[in-house]
Amino acid sequence: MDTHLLQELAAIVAPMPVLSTPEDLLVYECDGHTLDKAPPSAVVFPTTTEQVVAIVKLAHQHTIPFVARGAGTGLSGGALALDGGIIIEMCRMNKILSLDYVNQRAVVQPGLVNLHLSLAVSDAGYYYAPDPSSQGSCTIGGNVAENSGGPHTLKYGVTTNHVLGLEVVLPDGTLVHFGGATLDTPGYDLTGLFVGSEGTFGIVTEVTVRLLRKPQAWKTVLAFFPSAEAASNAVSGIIGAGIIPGALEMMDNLAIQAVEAAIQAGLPLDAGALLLIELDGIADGMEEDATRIADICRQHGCQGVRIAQDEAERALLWKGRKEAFGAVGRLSPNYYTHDGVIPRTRLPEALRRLREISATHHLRIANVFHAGDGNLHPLVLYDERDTAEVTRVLQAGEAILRTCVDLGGVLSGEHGIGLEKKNCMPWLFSDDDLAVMHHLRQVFNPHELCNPGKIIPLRGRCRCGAVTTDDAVTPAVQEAVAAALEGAHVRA
Amino acid sequence: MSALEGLATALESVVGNDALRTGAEVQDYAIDGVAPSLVVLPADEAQIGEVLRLAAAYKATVFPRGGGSHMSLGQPPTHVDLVLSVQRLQRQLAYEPADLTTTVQAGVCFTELQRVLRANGQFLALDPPVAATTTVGGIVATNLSGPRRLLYGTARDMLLGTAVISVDGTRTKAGGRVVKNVTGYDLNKLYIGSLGTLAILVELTWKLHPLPPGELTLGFGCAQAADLATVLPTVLQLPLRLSSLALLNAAACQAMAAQLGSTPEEAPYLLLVRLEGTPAVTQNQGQRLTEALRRAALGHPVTVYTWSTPEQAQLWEALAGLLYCEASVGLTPARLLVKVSLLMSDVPAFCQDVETLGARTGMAWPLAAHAGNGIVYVHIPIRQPEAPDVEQLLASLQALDQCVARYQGHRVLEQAPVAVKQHCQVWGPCRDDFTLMRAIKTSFDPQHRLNPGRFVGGL
Repeated sequence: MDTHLLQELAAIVAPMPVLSTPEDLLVYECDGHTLDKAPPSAVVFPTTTEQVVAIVKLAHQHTIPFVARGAGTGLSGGALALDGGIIIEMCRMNKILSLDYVNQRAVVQPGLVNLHLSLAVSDAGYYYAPDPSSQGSCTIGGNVAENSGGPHTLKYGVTTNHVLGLEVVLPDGTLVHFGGATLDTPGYDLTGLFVGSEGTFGIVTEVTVRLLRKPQAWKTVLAFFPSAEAASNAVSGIIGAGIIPGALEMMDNLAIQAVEAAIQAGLPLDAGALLLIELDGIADGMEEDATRIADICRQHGCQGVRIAQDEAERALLWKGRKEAFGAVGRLSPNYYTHDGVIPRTRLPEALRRLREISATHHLRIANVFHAGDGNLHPLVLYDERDTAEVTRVLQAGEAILRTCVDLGGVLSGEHGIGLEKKNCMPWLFSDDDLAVMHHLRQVFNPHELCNPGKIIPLRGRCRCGAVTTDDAVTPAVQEAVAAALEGAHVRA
Repeated sequence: MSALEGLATALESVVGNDALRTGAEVQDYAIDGVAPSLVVLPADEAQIGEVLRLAAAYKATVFPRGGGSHMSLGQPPTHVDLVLSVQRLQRQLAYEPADLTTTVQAGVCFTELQRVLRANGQFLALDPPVAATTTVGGIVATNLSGPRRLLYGTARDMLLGTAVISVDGTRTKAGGRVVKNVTGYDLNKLYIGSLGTLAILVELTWKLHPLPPGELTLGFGCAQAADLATVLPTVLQLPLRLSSLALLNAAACQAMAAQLGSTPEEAPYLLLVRLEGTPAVTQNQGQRLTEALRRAALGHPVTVYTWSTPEQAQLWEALAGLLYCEASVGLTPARLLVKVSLLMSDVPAFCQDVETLGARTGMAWPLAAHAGNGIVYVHIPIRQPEAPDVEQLLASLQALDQCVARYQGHRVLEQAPVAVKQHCQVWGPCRDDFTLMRAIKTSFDPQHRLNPGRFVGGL
């Protein structure tokens, strides 16, 4: 990047540094989605909204692409700076600006780590509901961009259900406010539209969120089944009976083996699948619901039930779930995670098809997922040093997503489309559907400087015929993929 | 006029003579007293597309309509070329109870849909004040909500997918049919509450909820507004499965007197608390709640009211009736209905302000709130509904606006005589996001022909 521009950036964020040497930039060439890589031209660390405004205005003025980045835990390449753009790293804006327990509101900066908010309000008896598995490191701003979920979203909803207001720096540097602490703001729901826009509509500098009272009681149950199909049927049975647990998670045999090897939670290694079911809320009536759930599980062939006897055991059971992805890393050097969603009732069929895909492509697939939502997380195991296997991984991934779409589902439940899945968007959306989305993006981001090249596959597909950055980035992305395939480390 | 005659002929060839209203028939479809030139009731999506393409060719303004129950919401239109009703799109397209989702056409009648869902032990967890004709499309377009929003939220928490016909006749969709989805921009949120200014809603996919196993409504009378500042947080912080927390002042209670039955008027504020669960659970919870409120440090102890199960249901119906903003043609509203949004903690002080404002006009202003959400409906009575004193009503509204501004809240004038609406901002002042809203409107509807002039900032 031009030295003069680097100096201008440095002047804005001083005394914070601006990173621009190749070795410094290496860290920022990808996020949690490691198959695509693109180094930024610089990384800046603003500490105030004013600095974000100044950086964006500078980029706008010089027509330089930019992308906001939180903790970089995203799994769809949303935080990649394509076209050699600037990464605006938001992690230094990590303060809780205000807490209002009576009204159950908090105003936070986007770089605040998700879990840190819940920890900060815990003693007062509150928490922030969206709980992605990466909540120990991912940021609220990143959650807003991706509309992140988590195990407890079955009952409590995803990020969009808990964000009430936003302060946003638009891609031309204008500062605007959407929604607020009060509800039903007149006009279009720009807060709702912005959440999940994957950093393509602007940069969030303040977030007003809803806090929830901590549940009075929990009941955490593990139920073991002979097969994933039996467990799936139990899931439909529970929801069909009118019980909405706080969480309803499934692990198949491969995942059980990995978790047991990692944390020795005493899981039966011969179980075909397990359900982790957590009831939460008021204590009244919870025992009855737990009994009903146990009955339903037994009706579907459940082989055994384990109920957490205390907080320590509950924590252990959840540890197995939350660290399952990491545990799967024991089974193979690398894995690729998908995030498709299907209607709950199609789970047995989806799991059968996943087994077929696994057999056809000679790949092991572990399943650890949000069964209650029908949100699959097939983890395709592979070794990146085996290039033929990597090719099969990509083909299997496509087959998995096709399956989700065939069964009436969608491409992503919580990880986002980003760079990773944008070319699959036409499987679900017509050119006209995508054109509406593209026109909307142009309202916010007319020059496509803000996180270009994400979500919408524009090349030759958009009726508006706009000049897009897509054409420009494709070779770079191909190169990045090639680099990835040539032995770059894919995080387990 | 000849241009519109041409449009009428063209429309007739698309929808047939039966589905086109002209001449005197259009009076029934007047919006704020402005009769449309034409009314069209297309049978399906394809016809809606054709109608919109014709409207574009004739540069006609198009006013979308569901059941017509809430057409008076918004700034009065100046003139209306074409009213486009989606009421004939009445099919339930998909319903898989075990998935807790359903896909319906926009013209499906809300109460009829609830009846179908109830038969399966489920419901769409919206309980807005509606008429028998109110459609699900209309509920989305106006973002209606009711007291159960405390537990279940509003349309934005339940709408999973939408299909719309754009102003140029193109059908597009967004979202999906699954309960969790981040595939593409969340246009559902944009369509909710957009008052038909962006596109015509034709298909909606909803997340459903199981019916609660039982409900219990208890009433608590408070002698003074100041006590509410203790009572409201006490109720909200107890571990309860609380689906509604309604607050009524004495004037609102009076309006509901018939349904409230034995409720004495000596309690200036009445709190209606609705709990969910099996009978054993709700009884237990009700008892604990009552004890907690009796223990609370209040200026005056609360009075506890109980009702029979049928009476409890009637109460909530009566509240809906109180908050329903009729749009019947030719009806002269007897009040201004103002929806105010505040922080919950500001509700008690605001109640007191409303008492003061009412006293200044020499009339008590009924107030009913979804108190847990900070949503307060204020009624400003009209002395002579046949000949309203517009100046005086505007002054009352202005006084209320100043009060709302002090709490950094906002308000929508949901119902008022046209003469009042013509002289005030129905949606309140625009904020710094209005430029963006206007650009979005223009992106969807470049010539501003969909419901023009009726939405926030004159969109």
